[in-house]
Amino acid sequence: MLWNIDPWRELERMRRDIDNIFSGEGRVGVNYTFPLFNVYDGKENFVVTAELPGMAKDDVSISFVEGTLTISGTKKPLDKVKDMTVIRQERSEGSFEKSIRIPSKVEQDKISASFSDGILSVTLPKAEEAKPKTIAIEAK
Amino acid sequence: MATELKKREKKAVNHTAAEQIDQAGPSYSPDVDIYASDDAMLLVVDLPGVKKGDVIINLDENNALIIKGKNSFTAPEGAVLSQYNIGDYYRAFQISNDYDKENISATLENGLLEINIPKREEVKPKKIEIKA
Repeated sequence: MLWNIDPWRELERMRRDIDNIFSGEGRVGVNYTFPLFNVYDGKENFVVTAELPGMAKDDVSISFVEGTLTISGTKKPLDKVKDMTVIRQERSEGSFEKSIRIPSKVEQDKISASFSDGILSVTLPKAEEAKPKTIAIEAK
Repeated sequence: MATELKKREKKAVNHTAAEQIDQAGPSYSPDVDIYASDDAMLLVVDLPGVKKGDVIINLDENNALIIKGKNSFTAPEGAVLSQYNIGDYYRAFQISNDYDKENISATLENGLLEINIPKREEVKPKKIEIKA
C-alpha cells in the first residue's frame, strides 16, 4: 500500500531530526560537528574514537567529569599554505570542544588515550558493576 | 589546476601487483584541500588510519592523479555510535599540463598526506626587473 506510511508523521519525524542537528541533541546526545566520534560499547571498555588527521597527542586535551568525556583542541592550518591561494577546502579546521555522556560507570583512574595515524582512541574501562553478567540457569 | 575527475573510471589504471590495495571493504572519498602558489600546487589529503607505505599515488598516461590509501585502523567491537565510516580511501584528480609530472613529491604524517606538484619551469611567472 502506497499510503501505509503516514506522510504527516514522516514530516514530523524529519522536522525533529533537523531540530536535533541544530540543537546538537542527537539521539545519542552528541552532535554531528567536527570532529566526528565513533563509540564502541565492549564487554570491558567503552572506546571513543575521533578522526583528527594531522594532529598529534599534544594538540588535544581530554577530560572526564561526572560521566561526561570532553575532547578539545585546535586543528591549525598548515604554516606552509599561509601565502598560497586556496583552490579547494574540504577539510575541517579550527578549535573544537565536544562532549559525550558515557552511559555507565567507568573506572575514572584507568581511562587511557592513544593517538595513531591521526586517530584518537580513548579507552574507558567499565566499573565492575557495569560489566555485563551472565546468569546461569540452574537445571532442576 | 587540478580538476577532480567527474566519474571514477571503472577500469581505472593498470594496477601492478605492488599497487594492489586489499579491497575487502568499501572505499571512501577523503577530504582534500588544494592550494596553489606561483611555483607549485599542494594537495592536502585527510587519510586517518593510513600508515606510511600504505598509500599509493599514481599518475597515469591521461594525467589522472590517483590516490589510494589502506586504512589499518581496526575498530573495537560493539559499535553504538558511528558518525564516520571506516574504510580504505580513493580519490582522483586531473592534473593540467602546466605541472611537472616528473617531480611530484609526497609526505604522510599523522594520517595527513601532502602532495607537492611543481609547475613546469616554462610556465612559472617570470619577474622582470625594471632597470634604473
